[in-house]
This record gives sequence, C-alpha cells and structure tokens, in this order.
Amino acid sequence: MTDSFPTSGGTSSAGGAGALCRIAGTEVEYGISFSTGEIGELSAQISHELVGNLPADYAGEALWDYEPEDPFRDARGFYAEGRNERPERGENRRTNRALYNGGRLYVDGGHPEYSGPECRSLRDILRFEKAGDRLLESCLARWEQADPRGRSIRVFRNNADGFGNSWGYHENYLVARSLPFERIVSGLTAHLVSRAIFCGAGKVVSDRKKGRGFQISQRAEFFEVPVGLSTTARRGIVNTRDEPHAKNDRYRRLHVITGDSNCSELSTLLKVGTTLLLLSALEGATLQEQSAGIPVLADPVAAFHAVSGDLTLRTPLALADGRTMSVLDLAETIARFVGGFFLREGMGPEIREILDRWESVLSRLRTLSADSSDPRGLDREVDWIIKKGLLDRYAASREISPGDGRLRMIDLQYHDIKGGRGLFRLLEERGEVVRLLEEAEIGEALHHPPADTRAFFRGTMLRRYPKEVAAVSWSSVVVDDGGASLKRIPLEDPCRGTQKIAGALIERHRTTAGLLSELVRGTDSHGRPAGGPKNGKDE
Amino acid sequence: MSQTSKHTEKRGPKPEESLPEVPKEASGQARKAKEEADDILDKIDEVLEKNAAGFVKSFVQKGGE
Repeated sequence: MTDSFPTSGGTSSAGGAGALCRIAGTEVEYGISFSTGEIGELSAQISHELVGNLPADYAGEALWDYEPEDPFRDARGFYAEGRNERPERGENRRTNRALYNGGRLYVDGGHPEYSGPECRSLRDILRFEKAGDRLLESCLARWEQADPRGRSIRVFRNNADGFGNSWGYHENYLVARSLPFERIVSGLTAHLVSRAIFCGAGKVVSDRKKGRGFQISQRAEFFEVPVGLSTTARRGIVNTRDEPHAKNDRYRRLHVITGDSNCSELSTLLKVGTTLLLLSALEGATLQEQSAGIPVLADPVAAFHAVSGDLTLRTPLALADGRTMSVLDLAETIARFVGGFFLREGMGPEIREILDRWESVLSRLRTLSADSSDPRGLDREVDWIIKKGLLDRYAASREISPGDGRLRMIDLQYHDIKGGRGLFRLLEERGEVVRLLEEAEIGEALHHPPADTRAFFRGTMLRRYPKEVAAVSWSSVVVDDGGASLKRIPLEDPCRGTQKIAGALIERHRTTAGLLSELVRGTDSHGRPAGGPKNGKDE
Repeated sequence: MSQTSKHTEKRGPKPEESLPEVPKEASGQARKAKEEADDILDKIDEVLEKNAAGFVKSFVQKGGE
C-alpha cells in the first residue's frame, strides 16, 4: 500500500496531461448513548457538546463554508441574505470543526460525524478513518471530565440499534463524468450487494425482521429500492447524489451508502479497495466488456437482504438473464472481471495487494461456506466472522441462551471506540486480529493532512493562519486578509493543493495577504511560477 | 500515480508476509489458542457493560445521515 490509486482505467499514461484524479474519502456516523444505553432527545445536544470538546490541538476557530465556490471572486461575507439554509455563525461554529488533518468533525442530525480528508492511497483511507475514532475519543474524555453530574458516554462506530434505526457509513469516490451513470448502476450494484460477505460488520438481531438471527450486514435490511437519492428513507443501493465538490464537467462524486462501519482494517481495505478498482475497471472497459463480465441481479434489494441473512453463502440469487448464482460465485465473477482488467492494463503494488487479498478472502470464504467450522484465519480479518466467532465462543462457554442481553451487548460493544472498553480494540491490543496500521501513523493523521491531495492545502492553511482562515469547505478556503472583504480560494481540483505544489508557497508567507498576492500574480518575488491550487491544469 | 507500472505477464507470486497465514492444525497450537480464547472471554466479562440487558433495551438512536 505504498503507491496511489489507479488513474482513469489504470493505464500507464497516469499523471500525464488530462489524467483524471483518483480520490476517495470516507465518512463515519457514530451512535451515542449514556452508560445506561439511553440518549433519547438529548442526542443532538450531547453530539454538539462532544464536538465542542475537541481539543485545540486538532482544529482552530474556522467555520465551515456552506457557499458554493466562486473562483477568485471576492465574497461579500458568506452569510448572505436569501440563503436561509446556511447556518448563522454561532450555529455553524457549534456544529463544525474544520480539522487540521483536512477532515471535518460535525453534528449531523443527532449524531457526531467525521468526514476524513480526500485520500489518494488506501493506507491514508485507513489511517484517516481511524483518526476520526481517536478524535471522538478525546472529545469524550474531556466531556466526561467536565460533566458536573459525572455521567459517562458511549460512542459506537456501528450502523443499527436493533429497533429499526440506522445511521450511515458513507464512501465517496471521484469518478469520471464520462462514465454514464447507467453503467455505474449496472456495473456496481452486484458488487455492493455481494461485497457484504467480506466487509459486513455483522449483527446478532434483525432490525426489520427480514431475516431471523444473525445478519452479515448491519445495513442491508435498510435498503428498499435499487437506485435512489435519499439516505434516510427509501434508501437506494446506488445513491444518486451528484455533488462532485470538484469540476462538475469532469468528475462525479459517487456516494456509496450501503457499507457498514467496519472495525477490522482488513474489511475496510477490501470494502474501499475492491470498489475503487471496480470503478476504475468500469471506466476503462467498454460496455460490451462490462456486460459480458459483470452479472446483473434481477432484484438487487431482495438479493441484498438474502445475502445478509445467509451465513452459508449458498442461497441462489436470481439474475436478470434468468440464471441464478450464489453470492460467492457472484463475488468471484466480479473479482475475475477486475483482476483480468488490471492484468491487461498493468498495476502497481497497491492494486496487486488488493487483488491478492480479494482473491485470498474469497477462496477462504469458499472453504467456510462448505464447512462453517473452518474459518481459515477469516476470524482474524473479516468483521462479521470475527464477531460471530466471539459470540459463539462466549455463548457456548457461559451456557447462555440466544436471547440473553449480553450477546447483543457484545455486538454493540465490539464497536465502542474507547480503548480499554471497546471489544474490537481489545482484540487489537491482544493481537487477535490482523492489523495493517501502526499506531504512530494513526497519530500522525490526527494532526497532519494527506500530502498528495487538496486536503493538504486546506489543513495546512488552517494551521498556518489560524486567525486569517475564516472558513473552509471541500472545495474552498475563505481567508480574511485584512482587506475590505473575505476572499475565497477555490480548490476545484482535488489533486492540486498538494504538499509538492503548495507546501513551499504556504511556508514562505507569514500572512495570507502575501500568499494571495503571489497566487494572483502567478509568480513569486523571485520570478518563479507560483504553486497555488489553480484549476484546470495538471501537475 | 506515475509509479503505476505496466505488467503484461501473469502476476507473480504473492508477497507472503503480507497475507495472513492459515492457522496450522497442530493440536498443541490449537490448545494454546483455546486457552487464549478463554482468556479473552474472561476479559469480556470484565469490561462488558454490567447492565447489558437494560442497556440493549434502552439503546435507541434517532436521526442521522
């Protein structure tokens, strides 16, 4: 996991003029409760208080910029009339923390939410996602220390409460606008359904009685239509939100909402890695190649529910062409399509590692499907199998019945983010699950943005000019340089604003006035071309 | 992304150290693993919410996404 994601189609022309920027990022919504399990109407208030307790090491005073970008035009303040959906300053501040690591910690509905910064490698995806847990953990510690009533809070990175309520884990992939949306729907749906077998987080009870007992996926039951816009009701397996936070004519930001909040790094790696590679392959393949290689499900919603409830992985799923296929066959077919594509197109070590792990996990799932007592190490790698193993051992050893509250508690507490209490964290500390990250690189991700995306510019500006950066968004940095109005610097190209391009520029200016004047001038005082995050040009 | 290399030949052997080993079936190892497993169950009893039954009944989340 040392090199970057593939560019368009993974071809060797990567990085040349016109190459697309391959970016991904993930968002985690957290469930919260008091130590009694209750939270009720207080969830929004407590979420705000948690966010408000973020230590100053990780974010300054900047607001979130809700305005659409407008390249290099002066902004007359960003709370203009007629924009009622924009929160006023106080509410904005209460709701948001613009993080020095390039990400965002905020309150969404009644939940704390963390959006990791834009990343260009899977290692960054993994470590920045985990950094979000650590940030929440420090908020939690400070909140508890300050609470006059001595209460204690639980924070879970999971997706369902067992009573039919779900909250999300969202992946974002920048894909070429040139790939028609219909091809994404026909090429991706079967993968979003079948990948649950290696990246489901598992849960002991069904939320909607679609299946009895253990579910492989926390989220599957909550999907009702094949394609849809909403993330809270009538959820669609392929989400249609089209807000690229980048050049609209070039990019689409595919918003994937079907995934579970994994604890296992291996499951996260496979969840994001395989999806990213499939999207690259769809971009690079012809429609004919796609149609020949990727099966289309007759009823994706029914299939998603069936996959989640079938621990044997053998239930036949109906295909649009009249055949049926087990989820394992389906997953293997998709992996073969993607593997074949990259064999032809070429690949670096990161892609090779994803393909190898993908193949390895599928082959061991095949063994598990034939003999459920033979997990072949998957009980150290795949969340639902790790969790199921733990629950089965506990139930057998303690001789407790299936309805015992302790089993559901183990399920929940597996996702508790606090070290020393969270059960997954316990397994990690004891070396009982496979780890990919070093603690030091997670620690680094709390403080510093990824070096190779525009997140570098956002996070570094926030830290370097804490008094002058008024607000940021995914595609803008708004500065108050002491002039008559605020100025918005656009960040429309997610692959610019990198350390390589903008690091020295930020370093050599003590004020944003100097930085802006160099950006506008196009050269620095020595006549060298300025390295600002201008748009429309490649590195 | 310029590091992306062109491979037309078949993929080479897998990097063995990066893929987890399949557990051996040696009985000694299995017994050791079993003891460790029991140890983790004791640890779970230690940290698991004491009011588990009440907690899971009360844990209801609203809003989100």
